Order: sequence, then structure tokens, then C-alpha cells
Amino acid sequence: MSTMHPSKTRIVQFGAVAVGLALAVSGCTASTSGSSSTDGVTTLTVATASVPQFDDIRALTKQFEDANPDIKVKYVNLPEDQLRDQLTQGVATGSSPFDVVSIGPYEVPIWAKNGWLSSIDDQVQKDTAFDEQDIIPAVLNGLEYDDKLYAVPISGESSMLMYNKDIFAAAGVTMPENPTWDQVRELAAQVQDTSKNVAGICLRGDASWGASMAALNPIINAYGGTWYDDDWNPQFSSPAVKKAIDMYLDLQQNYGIPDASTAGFPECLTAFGQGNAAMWFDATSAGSSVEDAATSTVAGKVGYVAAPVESWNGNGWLWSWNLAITETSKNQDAAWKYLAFFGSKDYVQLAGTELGWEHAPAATRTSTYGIQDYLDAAPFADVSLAAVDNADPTDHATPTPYSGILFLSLPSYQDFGTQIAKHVSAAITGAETTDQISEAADQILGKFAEENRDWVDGK
Amino acid sequence: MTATAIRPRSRARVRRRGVGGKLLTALTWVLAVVMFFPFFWMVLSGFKPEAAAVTSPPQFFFQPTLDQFAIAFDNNFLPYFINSVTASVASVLLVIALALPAAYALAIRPIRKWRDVMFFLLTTRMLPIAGAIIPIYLIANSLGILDRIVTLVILYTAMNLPLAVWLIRSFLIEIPMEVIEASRVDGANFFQQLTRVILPMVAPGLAATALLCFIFSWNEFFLARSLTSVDAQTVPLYLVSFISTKGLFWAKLSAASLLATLPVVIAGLVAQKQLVRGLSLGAIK
Repeated sequence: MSTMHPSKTRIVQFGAVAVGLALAVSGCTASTSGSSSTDGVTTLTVATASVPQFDDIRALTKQFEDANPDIKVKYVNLPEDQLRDQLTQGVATGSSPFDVVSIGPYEVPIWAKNGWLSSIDDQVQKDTAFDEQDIIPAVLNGLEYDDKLYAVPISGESSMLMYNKDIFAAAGVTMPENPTWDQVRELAAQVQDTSKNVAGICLRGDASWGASMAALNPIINAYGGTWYDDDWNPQFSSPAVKKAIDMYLDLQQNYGIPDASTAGFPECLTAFGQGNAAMWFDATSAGSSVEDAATSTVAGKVGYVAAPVESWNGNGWLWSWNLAITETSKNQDAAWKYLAFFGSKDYVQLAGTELGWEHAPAATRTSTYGIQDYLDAAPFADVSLAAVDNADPTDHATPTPYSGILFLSLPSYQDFGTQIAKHVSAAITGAETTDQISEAADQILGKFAEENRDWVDGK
Repeated sequence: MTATAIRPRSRARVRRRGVGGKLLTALTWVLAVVMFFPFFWMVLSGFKPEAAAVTSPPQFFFQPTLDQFAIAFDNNFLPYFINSVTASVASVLLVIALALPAAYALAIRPIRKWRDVMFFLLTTRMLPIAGAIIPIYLIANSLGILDRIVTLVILYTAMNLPLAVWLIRSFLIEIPMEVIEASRVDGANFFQQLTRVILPMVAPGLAATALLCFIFSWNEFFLARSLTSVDAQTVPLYLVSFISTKGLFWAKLSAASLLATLPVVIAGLVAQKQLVRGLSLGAIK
């Protein structure tokens, strides 16, 4: 044993070389990909959500780079929910690598209050070509905090009800111009044909605040319900909210698509676009997907009406996709050029002519609705413009301490909204009842009441 | 050698006789098809136009298109791919370089309390990674190595090391002591024993271990998702960027997934022989 002692140095050398080599290889690759400005070229890092509007922007980025040869754009594309996680994680820990982020009106006031975004007021004032007056006021309002503007909209949307004209004609029924949810239920019963695999209506039902709550929340509003009363008492057990939940569950369970409890926007688009659902209540931005003959078999056969109402009329939701500049960005000027390019009137023209007019940014600028090409390509334009114009998330049947119809403008909403959404989705499958949802939701809302009150009071 | 090769085959032939055997064979086929079908469906969907990928009932026959692959490539696939290759290959090299000596010290020349060491290595796998992610994130943040490949290399190495030590030890332990002793009698020093005797005998085992570690690193999502944001993103993160909340994405996601799985499939095919030999290394006796 002692005569054949291993030459330990050799093996240590061998190991050290291998370890060094591996680290060197990985280290080198990491260091080649630095960002920011070198040789006078600024690299902008932009985080986008995986939605069609940003696919279009990415497709036309070459034009932006050609117009600004000193700027290169690098994209990170993520699904909506992961985008939120990643951005929040980055900006909250001060390690965000992004110059420009794509966010919704839910984030804008919260992030602005946290000091994560740069105000773009000065740039907008100076840049006369940008024409702030042209931006649809309802959309613009959602992007302000403390009277300062923080983001540029690249797509706006409210909610509407879409219906398949062929199916309605075959069933011999007509859609009223301003339907109520009761009428929608009656129509769903008349047009549903399970033997032909046609569901009455598709509504989002997946367990997250962006899915089942996005469908249920406008119904709660339509029945005059609220989440909290003016003194932050939970209201999910109120008769109005219970009626709304009953209606939502009735529609989903009896007239919804199969597996309605896991349906989100893509599932509804698939069902409605393939003629497997007679109606679809969702965002006005769905219009351009529905009218796209390449992916939808119902293009040209769809009717559009305003979001259904009940006792309360003001229940059009308001959402927009926007570009904002992070406070930590070292390339504020280049970032503004990016915002000004993709938020401009010229970009509306560019997207329309290069990608087809159904791709033109919807409901961001009044001037878009004066373009005949756009109106011809978008039969949903009138309904969606009216819906966005009328949408007022601060307006509820009774006074509330919060605002919001699609979402509640509270930082904790993504948390408690999703907690309640889980009960709602469970109820679609029959695992819970309306009473159980109300009870569970009131408990959840009760737990968050203090935190929400503090946030609104600015504590 | 020939006897060992023939024996299992004749045994299998005996087993196949009788109704029970046939049923078992049928069941194996059914299970294999069920397991394979999702992959097959992904391949098929990758060649479909977007609308054909979501039809009900599903389409088996359609006009194939390469559009989705074009989209997958256009979406800046290459940086992600290079990052994944770098992170996986570098960590596999490190793992093998570190695990082989460790396994040697636990198998051929066991140190004192080698059982405790083995158990310790196993326990490092018991902590759910979600429980450790916040400290890891904060440490990486203060060291300034967030969004760097080197961070992934270190973590993937740590993640695969215990498994590799266990595996390589199991291969080393199969080497008859007589063979090593014989080489010593012939005057081989330690390094010669390692390179001329031990390594050739466990090469299939090392290949199998390396491939497993490569696959684990290649497929890793959680750490990559939490610790990278722009420059160091890997292929699994590239895949999720296709999942859209507003629009159809199954065909392009399938095409991108196919691209992402290709390296693993190819590595598996290339190493197939080694893998089978590695896994049946006990037959050396």
C-alpha cells in the first residue's frame, strides 16, 4: 500500500485544470454580453409581454433601429404573469437590467409611487410631434400618478361581447344592442347545441386574477356589487355580489365550454374562433384575432356589442399595454426615443401598412379612428372605441375606497385576487357553492383590509 | 462474454411464451406509445399552421409548413442556445472532474466513515430548491453575479455533484480489486492505474453520468428563471416566451420545443451504446 501511494499532486493538477477550464469557458461567454453604450451605440434592453401587440413591435424594431442608428434594441419576452414577477423582483431588489418595460395600468400608479419608473412629462412636453392631446383620455388617465405621466400606451382595450352571427341566425335569435346578463343567459340557452359541439358562451375561468376574476369582476359591477364598502368592510356576501357569482357560475356550468375552469383568453379564442362557442365576453383587443382569417374560421361573421349590463351601467373594463422607462435606466434619452417611436401616430401608420391594418394599435389615439383603412379592417372599431371612451374604473354603483373594474388598483390585488379566483374556478367544477365563495372571499378580503387601507391612505 | 450476451436473450424468449407474456408485451407497447405520444404530437404540431394546431377534433393530416420553425429561429434563438450549451457543458465537465476523485475516495480506497460522507451527499438533495432560492438570489445579487452564466455553472455543478458521486461510485465499486492489484504488480503508479485501468473500465458509466447531468442542466428551469434576466437566459426560458395570454401559440411553441429537445435527443442517440453498457456495468464480472 505504502509503496503505491497515489501521486496526489497529479490528480489535484488534473482537477484544477478541468475546473479552471470550465469556469473560464462559462466566464468568457458571460462577459462578452455586456450592455449599455459602446462605440457610441446604446443598447436598450426592453422587457415585453407575450401578447400580439409586442410581437408587432418586435417585428418592426428594424425600422426603429434604422431611424436611430446609434441605438440597438435587445428584447426579453415573457408571458404576462412571469413578466410581472421578473420585473417586480428586479426593480424591488434594485437589480433590474431593463431600460424599458411593458406594463399595464395596474402597475403604473403602484410602480410610480414606489419610485421604480421615470416620469416622462418633460419629454412629452418638449416633443410636439408626440401630440399627447391625441391620446384617448380614458387610457391616458390610467398612466398618471400624482399628475405626472409615466407611460406611453401602445394598445388600449375595454370589454365587449362578441357573437357568432351564423349561429345566431341559424337559431333564429338576435342580439340586442345593449344586452343584460339575463338576456345573455337566455340567448346562451337558445344557441347552445351540444350535439354540434357548440357552447353558449365562453368566459375566462382559470384560477388567476387575470382570468376568472377578469370575467367575474365586470359582472359584479354590472349587478351593482363592490369588493369593499367605503369603510373597507368586505362585500362578497352582499346580495348583489352573490347574484353576480350565481350568474357567472350558471353561465360557466350550463352554457360554458368544456373545461371552463381552466379557460383563459387563448382557450376562448380557440373555441370562439373555431365556431365552438356562440358568444365570447372578453377584451376588445380580441377583435383583431377573431377577424384574422389565418387563425380564425369565423372572420367576417362576428357581431360586436357593448359589455352586458344589469342594474349598473358603468362596467366596461379598461386595460392598456404601455411602455415605461425604469428609474434605474442609464439610457433615459434613448429610452424616450423608443417610447416616442412606438407610441407615435407614425407607428400606427407603419404597423397598418407593414403588417396589415388589423395590427394597427387599437384604442390609443383618437386619430386612428379617422383612418378609413383601419375602420374597414376592424369591424369592431366603433364598439371598442365607445367602450374605451366610456370606461371609468373609478365609477362604481356605491362609493368605494378603491378603484377598478377589471382589476382593483391595489398592490395586493394580484395576491388576494388570485386567492379568490381559486375558489371561483373550483366552483365552476362544482367543488364549491356561491355561499362558500362569498364566505372564503370575505375572509380573504378581511385579512387584506388593513394593508389596503394603509396603502390608499399613503401610509 | 458470449455466454453473458446470449443468456438474457434466451431467457427472454422463454418468457415471451404463454398468454401472460404476450399480454405483458402488449402492455409494454401500449405504455410505450402512451409515453411517446406527447412527443410525437409536439413534433406533428411543430409542422402545423397555427390554426390547425388547435382544431377540435385534432388533425393528423394537414399541409405541413416550416413557418413555425422560422418564427422560432427569428425570435433570437441562438443566444439562448449558446447559453444553455455553455452552462450545461461547463457544469458537466466540472461535475465529472470533481466527482471522479470523490467517488474514488469512497469506493476503491474508502476513507474512514465513507458511509457518512455518502449520506451527507444525499442530504444535500433533500432541501427543496424553493426553500433556498431567496438566500441564493440575495447572495448572487450582492456578489454582482446575477444574470451571469458562471452562476448557473456553479449551481448546476452543485445540483448534479451528489448524484454523480453516487453514480460513479457505484460503477467504481464494480471494478474487481484484483484488476487494480494486478496493475500495481505490473508497476503502474496511481495515475497510470486511473487512466489506463480504471477510466477505460468505467468510461461507459462516466458517459452515462455525464449525459444524465447534461440533461438535468439542460432542462433546468427554476434556477435559470430566478437568477437570470437578459444576458444569461437559457433555452427553457426561451420556450416560455412563446406562451401568450392573448393569442394562439401551440404550433410555434411546439416547433421551438422540438428545437430545444434536439440536442438532448441527439446526445442520447450518440451515447445510446455507452448508456446501455454503463447501466449494465455490473456484467463486467
